[in-house]
Amino acid sequence: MMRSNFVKAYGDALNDGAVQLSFTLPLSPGGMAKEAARHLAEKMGLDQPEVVHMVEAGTGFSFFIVYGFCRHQVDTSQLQATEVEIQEMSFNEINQYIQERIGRRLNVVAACTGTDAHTVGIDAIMNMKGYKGEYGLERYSWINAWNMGSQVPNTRLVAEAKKTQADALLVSQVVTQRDVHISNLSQLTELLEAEGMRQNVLLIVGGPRISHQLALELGYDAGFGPGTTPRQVASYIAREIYRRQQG
Amino acid sequence: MNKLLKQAVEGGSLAVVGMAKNAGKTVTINYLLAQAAIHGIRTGLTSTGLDGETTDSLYLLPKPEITLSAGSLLATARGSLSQGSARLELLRGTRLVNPLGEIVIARVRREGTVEVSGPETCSDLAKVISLMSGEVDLVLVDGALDRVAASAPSVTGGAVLATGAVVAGNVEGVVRETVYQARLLMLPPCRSLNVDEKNLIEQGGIAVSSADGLEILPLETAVDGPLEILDYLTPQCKLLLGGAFTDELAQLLLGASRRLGELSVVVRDGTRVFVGSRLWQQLERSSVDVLVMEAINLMAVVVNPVDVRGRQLPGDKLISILSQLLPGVSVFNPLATGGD
Repeated sequence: MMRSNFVKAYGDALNDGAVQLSFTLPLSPGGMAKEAARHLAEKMGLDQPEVVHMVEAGTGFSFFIVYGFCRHQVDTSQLQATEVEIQEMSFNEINQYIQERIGRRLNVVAACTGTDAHTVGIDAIMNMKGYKGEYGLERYSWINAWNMGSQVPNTRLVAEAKKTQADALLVSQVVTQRDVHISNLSQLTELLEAEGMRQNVLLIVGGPRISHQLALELGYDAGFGPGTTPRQVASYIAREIYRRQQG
Repeated sequence: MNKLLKQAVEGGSLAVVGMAKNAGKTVTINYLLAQAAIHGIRTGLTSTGLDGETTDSLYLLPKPEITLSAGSLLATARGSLSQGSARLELLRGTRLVNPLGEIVIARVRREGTVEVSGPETCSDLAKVISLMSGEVDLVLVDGALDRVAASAPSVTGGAVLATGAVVAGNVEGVVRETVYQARLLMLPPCRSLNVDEKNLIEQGGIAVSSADGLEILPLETAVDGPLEILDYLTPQCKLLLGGAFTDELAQLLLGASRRLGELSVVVRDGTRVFVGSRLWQQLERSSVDVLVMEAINLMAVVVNPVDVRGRQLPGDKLISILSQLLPGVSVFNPLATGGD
């Protein structure tokens, strides 16, 4: 058994439990709105809630920032975090790794699928000019990268993957509450199964509400959340394809 | 023993697939496990990919836990072995991996909860099932989200479809979506396939079969509805499709059928059909016949009348309408009835 490791929120001192909360209520700013906000925070279980900021957010709405103390703690030894394990390499190391270990260029096809038109994420990973000072996959000499853009039907992505003999597919989705994107993501897995291609491609999804665990449930090999860099994705693809080659 | 369990044991393995997340797959698995335990049926359990965590990864709501009785087998990733309360004895590795590690086969020594995270791909799933089936009477596969690929006859011997209030806002919507999905899974087999035609479909090829014989199409995929297909179609031909049958291809064939009259499409099984419900209705009214090489044995539709937020639809009404529209399939709520 692992040793317990309890943690509480940190504000001014260790284990004080201080948290900051923000939300909007459909009330005009004023004494009543402030009291409503304080009560709501209390109902959420915060001790000594204090409204430190109230501002009108459109007519009849107020935005609040509330401070308070959360008495709960979590034991990290009891938790399991599923995240992609990446041994990161540099731009040059990745190219060299592919050249030496795999011996051919890797084909990577990327798209924002379904109705999704949010290309910011996929562009950051793919574009030649890159993101956060890092080159995108298009810049790697040992990766052939295709960015199919936005609102790409799953069927077109699968056809393109077959045509290019893709080693990896990168799908970008902004998952919404209404689950439209979720069924679109799982449909891609099913289409690849139906086409007999699933075991031959590395299937990766990225987006602001994508966790690695959700990706696995969707039948993907990996899920990347916000802040992922091209180098992390390229390192993962290169190492995973090499590992699969080794059996 | 109830009819469903008996049929499931005859099939050797059973996939519980769902119309959506939170449709009641895990509840159904627990129901089947409990029934099997009562009747002394030895069971093995695995899943398509990750499942069985205590919280839902999209809504962060608690999910039902899976309990396995002593003697049952479990195929799951090494990384999830320590996650439940059941005492497990590791039997052997499979050399198949998912992102949580190698899939291993374990025997339950003392009853308790388990986390199941099985193979990601159908080809690996078929291998894992065959590795367990020698030692148990029935292998159950817990599906993930709305993925139905595990119900293909090349993977499992039968299927149960889970549906419920989570699928649509009213009874009509749930019935429409469920009947559409169930009918896809239950597509009838094409009786006239010869060995060459079956091999072609199994290998993922595309061909047109007519009185003139079998013509293999020089296409890698028909998934995006390539126009070249039209050049090969003749009246009363059979289009043999080793891959997916999609909206794009359905549109193409609907157009062609107006010119050519009767046509049939033969896919491997019902999991290969990706035609949306509206277009599917048009196909049903057209002279295009959709058949399968291997029919899925859909044994039951299970209904969860409550959705994830607690909203409730009339369960009895749902069950009785679905029973009428899906003759031969048992329809029940595993939380409410004995399911016979």
